[in-house]
Amino acid sequence: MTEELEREDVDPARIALISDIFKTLTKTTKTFNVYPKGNPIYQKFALELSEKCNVFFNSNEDLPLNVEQFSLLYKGKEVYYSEDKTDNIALSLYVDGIREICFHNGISLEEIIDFIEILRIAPKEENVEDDIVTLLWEKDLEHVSYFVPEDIDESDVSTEEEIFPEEISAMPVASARPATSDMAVWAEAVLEEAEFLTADEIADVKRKAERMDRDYLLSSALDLFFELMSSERAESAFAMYLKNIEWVADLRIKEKDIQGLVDVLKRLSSFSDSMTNLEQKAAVSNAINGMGNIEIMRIVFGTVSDTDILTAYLSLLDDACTANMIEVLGELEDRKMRRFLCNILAGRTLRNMDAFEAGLEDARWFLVRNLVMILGMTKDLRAVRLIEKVRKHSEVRVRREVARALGSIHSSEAKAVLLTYLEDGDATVRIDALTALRRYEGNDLFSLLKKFIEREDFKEKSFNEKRELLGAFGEVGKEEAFPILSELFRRKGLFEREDAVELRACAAYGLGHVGTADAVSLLGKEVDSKKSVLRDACRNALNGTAGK
Amino acid sequence: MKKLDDFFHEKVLRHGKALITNLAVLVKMTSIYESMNEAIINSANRVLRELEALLGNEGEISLRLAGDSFFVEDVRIKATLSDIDNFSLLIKDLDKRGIGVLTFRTPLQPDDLVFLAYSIKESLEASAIQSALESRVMKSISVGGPVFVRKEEDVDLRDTKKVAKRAYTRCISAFKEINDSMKTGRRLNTKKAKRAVQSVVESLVKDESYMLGLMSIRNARDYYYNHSTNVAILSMAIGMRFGLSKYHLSRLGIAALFHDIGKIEVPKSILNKASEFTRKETELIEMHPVDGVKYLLATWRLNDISIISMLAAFEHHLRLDFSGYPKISGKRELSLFSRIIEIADDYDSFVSGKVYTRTALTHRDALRRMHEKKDVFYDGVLLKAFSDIFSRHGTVL
Repeated sequence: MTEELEREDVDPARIALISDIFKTLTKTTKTFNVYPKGNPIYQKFALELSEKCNVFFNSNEDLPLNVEQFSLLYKGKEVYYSEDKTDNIALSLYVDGIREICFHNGISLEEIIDFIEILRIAPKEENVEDDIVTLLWEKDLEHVSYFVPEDIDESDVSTEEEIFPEEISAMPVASARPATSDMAVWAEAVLEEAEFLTADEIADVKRKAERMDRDYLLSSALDLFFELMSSERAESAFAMYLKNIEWVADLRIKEKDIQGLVDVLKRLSSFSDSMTNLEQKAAVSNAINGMGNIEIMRIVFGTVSDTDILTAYLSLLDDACTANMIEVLGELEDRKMRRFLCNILAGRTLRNMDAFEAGLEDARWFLVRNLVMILGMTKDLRAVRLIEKVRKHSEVRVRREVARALGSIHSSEAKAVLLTYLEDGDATVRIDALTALRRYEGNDLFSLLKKFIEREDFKEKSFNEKRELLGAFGEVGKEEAFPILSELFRRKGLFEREDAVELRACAAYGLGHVGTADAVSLLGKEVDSKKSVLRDACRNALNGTAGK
Repeated sequence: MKKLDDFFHEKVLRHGKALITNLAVLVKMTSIYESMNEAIINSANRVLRELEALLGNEGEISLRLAGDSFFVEDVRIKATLSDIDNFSLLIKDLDKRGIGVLTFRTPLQPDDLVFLAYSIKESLEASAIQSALESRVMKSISVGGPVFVRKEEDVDLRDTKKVAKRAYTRCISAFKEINDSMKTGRRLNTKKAKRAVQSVVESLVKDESYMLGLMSIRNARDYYYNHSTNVAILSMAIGMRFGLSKYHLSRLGIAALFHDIGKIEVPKSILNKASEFTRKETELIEMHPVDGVKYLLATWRLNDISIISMLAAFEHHLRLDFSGYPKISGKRELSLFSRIIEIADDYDSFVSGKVYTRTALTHRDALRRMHEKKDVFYDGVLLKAFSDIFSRHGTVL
């Protein structure tokens, strides 16, 4: 192939065929830039190119080409020309030093695809390591050969002259491998016994080499960095190792390998636990938290739904990342995921009150509601102070959540807020407050509830609200509440209007919470009432008291 | 031709491309602007900046065009895709006028460069340009005719021995360049090293005996580069015994080439000293595995091959039983390539008497010594493969 490819008269039809092959090759390369390998369009273009090549090779053994800066020549005739900077076959080959390239009969579809992939990858800016020659060489395509005139600088020549000052004509010529008996002589001179590689040993080593894939190497690199960090005193070197560990983590994130990211985090965390140098420990901690920044967290939640992996990831991040978790909570659309994250955040609340306080000022009411819920889950008095801040939130659903959350935290402050909710403009808020208040005692509450019952507007309230009010009244007041509740229960009215029946049913609910023998007896009188609302209320109330 | 020292070579690589690009732009601009135009002056200043970086204390620098390649002094300056246009333009301009050499000398002014650029644009040939320069009594620039360059035809690729020698030389040359890069903290460009390693693999395949035999020439004053190249050759030869693919062989070769890169900061006076190392010197040298990783991390983007190289740099003195150095916190799985390189490294060290000890062993003694530590220091299977090389080619090693 080093002999000059001579010009000769060439059949124009052949030139046209080759030109067409390269037109197709150009189109195929562009297609490969857009579609991934398995894509049907990718395969279609590759196949079309392969078929055109087969047509050529049906009557030709080789396709040898001279490579010039912008063109490819077949026996002196131009079969490809382009001045484009990108996707330019000739220019790519030329810049990397290839001056001749030859495709041979028998070239397979896989080889064609490999060749195009090499053309695609090599010129990319991010590829600073491997040029086309290296990639072709490593791929070792059986049916593609090429010629690269040597890059010989004068400095190389002077090096050669220095190393080999005279012709090494006297170089001993190695004998061919000695016959077996001679081998024994050789071996005996050096080794105690002749040893030969077995097929298994060869296969085993080859397997070990094959095993050195990207994941294996990244894992080995991490091992190395942690080993070096453990004994490194110099700040700059330590920082360099740590930076490279972060790089590995970034790579995992880019590849959406969240388990890989978690593995890195685990190692960093475990390493940090064993550290005594405070500055270095802080640096590691920063690195860990860096992997919990908002962008990464979004990617993590956008990639995995496996709660085990998510739990592992979040548990490794320290409190500095709580604000990010809150932010992500506001963005999650999946209810199950939100629930999951709320549970995780519940475990962090008390250490991160600041983050929650900031979150409660968020414009997104649904986030505020979730945060209130989480604060309620702590059942901690310190949470009341924060929940209180949003008691006047404009969104009803937030106020309801406040009522529910405060209901689980038994304190005078919580009670005070709940009491104000009895006057809330929204019935559902008032009801939730009443439900929560049932757990409290105290004459003040009893008096307040009594006042609400005796008000004119009591009858105008909804069935649910009346029921909750009377239920709370009964729960809080017990025997004291019995006279009023019994009076309401007995109040049939002349025509037994529906609203009267409902009121009686609500009173039954209250009597159920009173739970005394008198209350039970009274309820018993209407268990078979023709009015289903009343009947059901009495039966439910009695079932409730049966459990007491 | 001037003999290049390492730092000058590094400077040329750094500034040569910019010089050519800026000169091409200056010549191009002469067809658009008048000579006093600010754009022309700025462009000339840019060229001058690169020249001044190269001229330094030397006072003279030559830019040569041979074929379609530029050389600054003896160093070929290769274009990449982003600057090929400017390179081609300047090649065309110079070629058309039969200009093969541009020599620049201090003191050099922007005016001189502007004059040169217009002369190139307006004149038809090199001699006319030279006359124009002389008529201006300008001694800072001179122009010469076409240059003959050593072409590939001089080396018959069918001559496997010559090709093997060339491959060996390229390895050393590439490694020297990488050392220079690392000393200045530049990002590694490993393309030349990879090409060199590939050519060694090809030579090993075609004539393993001859290629291995080249290792026996241990006459270089500065054995550091030879040693790294020898270890690369021997490692790849071991790898070939297991039928490793070209892909893996080239990675093994690169890693082997870099295995001692951590010695970059060890003074040559210590590395090349004729007598045995003192304890302090030994301590310094024993830092090179860790230093090697640091250098590689600082100058090489993390990828498969850089990781393999770092592992080899760190592990190649650990020994299978971890009795070597550096001391580590716990046992680790030594990478396959590290174990291969360890064998190659120790063998070349023993027989050269130029690396860790000053007493050279015979090949047999070296091999015997290594076999005594089979499965203790050295992987037994890999040592077998190495022994196979010895048994086939012992006379040349």
